[in-house]
Amino acid sequence: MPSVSDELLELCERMPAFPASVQQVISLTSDINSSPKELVKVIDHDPVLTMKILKVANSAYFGLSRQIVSINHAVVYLGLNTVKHVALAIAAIGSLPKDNDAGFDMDDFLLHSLTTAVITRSLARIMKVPEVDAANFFVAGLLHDIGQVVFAQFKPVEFKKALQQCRDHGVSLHEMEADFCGHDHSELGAVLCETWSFPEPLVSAIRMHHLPGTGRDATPVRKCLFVANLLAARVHQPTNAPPCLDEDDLPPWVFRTFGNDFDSIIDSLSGLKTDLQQATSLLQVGKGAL
Amino acid sequence: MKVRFWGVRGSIASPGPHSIRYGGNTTCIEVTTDAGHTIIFDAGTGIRPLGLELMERGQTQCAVCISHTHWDHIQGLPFFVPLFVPQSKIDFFGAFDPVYQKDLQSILAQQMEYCYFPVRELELKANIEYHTLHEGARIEYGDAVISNVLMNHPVLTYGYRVDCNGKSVFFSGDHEPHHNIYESDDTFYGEYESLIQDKVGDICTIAKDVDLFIVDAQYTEPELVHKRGWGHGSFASGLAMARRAAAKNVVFTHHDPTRTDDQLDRIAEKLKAQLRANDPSIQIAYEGLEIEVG
Repeated sequence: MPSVSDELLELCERMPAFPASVQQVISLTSDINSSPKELVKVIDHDPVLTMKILKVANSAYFGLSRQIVSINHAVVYLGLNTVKHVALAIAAIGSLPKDNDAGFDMDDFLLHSLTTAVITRSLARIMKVPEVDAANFFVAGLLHDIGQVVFAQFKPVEFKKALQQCRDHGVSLHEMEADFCGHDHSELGAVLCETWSFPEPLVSAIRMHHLPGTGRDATPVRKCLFVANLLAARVHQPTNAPPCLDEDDLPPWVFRTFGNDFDSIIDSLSGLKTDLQQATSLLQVGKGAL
Repeated sequence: MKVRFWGVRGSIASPGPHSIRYGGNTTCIEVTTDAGHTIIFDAGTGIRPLGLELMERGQTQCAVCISHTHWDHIQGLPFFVPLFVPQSKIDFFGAFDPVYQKDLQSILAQQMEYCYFPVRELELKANIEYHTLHEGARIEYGDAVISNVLMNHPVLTYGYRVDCNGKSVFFSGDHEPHHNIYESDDTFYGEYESLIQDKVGDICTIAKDVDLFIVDAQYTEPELVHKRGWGHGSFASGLAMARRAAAKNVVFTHHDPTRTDDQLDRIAEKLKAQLRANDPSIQIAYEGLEIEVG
């Protein structure tokens, strides 16, 4: 697979965030009395804002003594005002257009990303991951498909063909992306995260999110993200990329770790529906879908 | 190692009858190492008289560690005479600005642009070097080692530690105690609290066992409640941090511009009366205060 070009990486630096969050960042940052946690909530539900703030926080310019893995973490380390101004600078770039030449449904993408994020974090609890680390799991879910937005924005013609093939022939999107765009979205997302010095477990979880593996040596975040991606498609079937793995195709570690079958895993995730409603209402996506 | 305070005021210089004894210049602290090297914390208006004294002493070299680039910490620089003298060798240390995406040199040069000052940074005669610091840097300067840690302020701010022959001093720069943005019944409260504890732990590790702990105490505790997010600490929060770092002596600085000399006297008395056994000794900074460290 060819390496991701520098040009594409540079384009990603200038990628705008989603319209609803851009609007909310502008409004919250104009109000001196707005609540800090509201701003954090908006940022950490937008994959582009999250990715870019983690990029700044992990930048070699500071060489922080710890790698920054969530927006709360960035706020504690860089300070609320710095995060606020970085978010405002990103918002000032503009917002992702509702429609794109690839015919890629952005609302659907966002809904799937948020659903996966919420489920990845819930699965972390099943794996008894300490609460303070569960935030990284949310970020992994939120960013796992970020490569798709990059393709939609910057390689729309090729991506459109990949999407079309996927819909017409029921083949997996990531294989079609590799054919038409040169690499698939999981590799592209991982390369972005790697280039911007995100923590290694997050990078490899994103890179491997379509590969079940044997479960041996897999980090908890990789296991949770892999399963969450499939469960999210069960909760809300994405139109952009139908899932290509059934329960029968999965290795035993999945059910050994999380539950007997998909439905029982979903049922066991307490508060899932409320968490999903909160997450999606914030960015005004998925109305009536849940 | 010797420490001298040239500016102890926060926010803005505040000369006048109310600040005659403690002083009205903004932050500038001079550290003289055992071998006579000069390390300066911040370049508020207090750096102007320090510059004149350095010229008199014939001290042509110094390091200037900028905690952050808010005005009260850099505003004295255009009047720092050693910058205009070709024999000077001045090393600046500070952070990269993540919002403006600019390094220290660009930001400091900006305050000397045409509309702010008649001489441009380019025209300065001294041999100047700018060093953008990563957190956790370790810089050897003469017989001292300078290290740094990120503090909590509305702009990126480094606290600095200087070690010299087993003696040490820590300067917090401007710092507000971290505040949990979530309510105690919120899902994320615990996660955020734990991140705060890690961060405060990092700061106290850098400041561990210092002989002299110089800390931002712009506010009293009741004032701090109304100034949340302004980026400053209180006498109580400064003392708490010094206790956690097991510092031996504490000096409170960055006094609010409205704080009068008499108020500072009363605060000092009250604080001393409240000290516990094994607490560090405490003092309130005033212009001209000199401390022999160690």
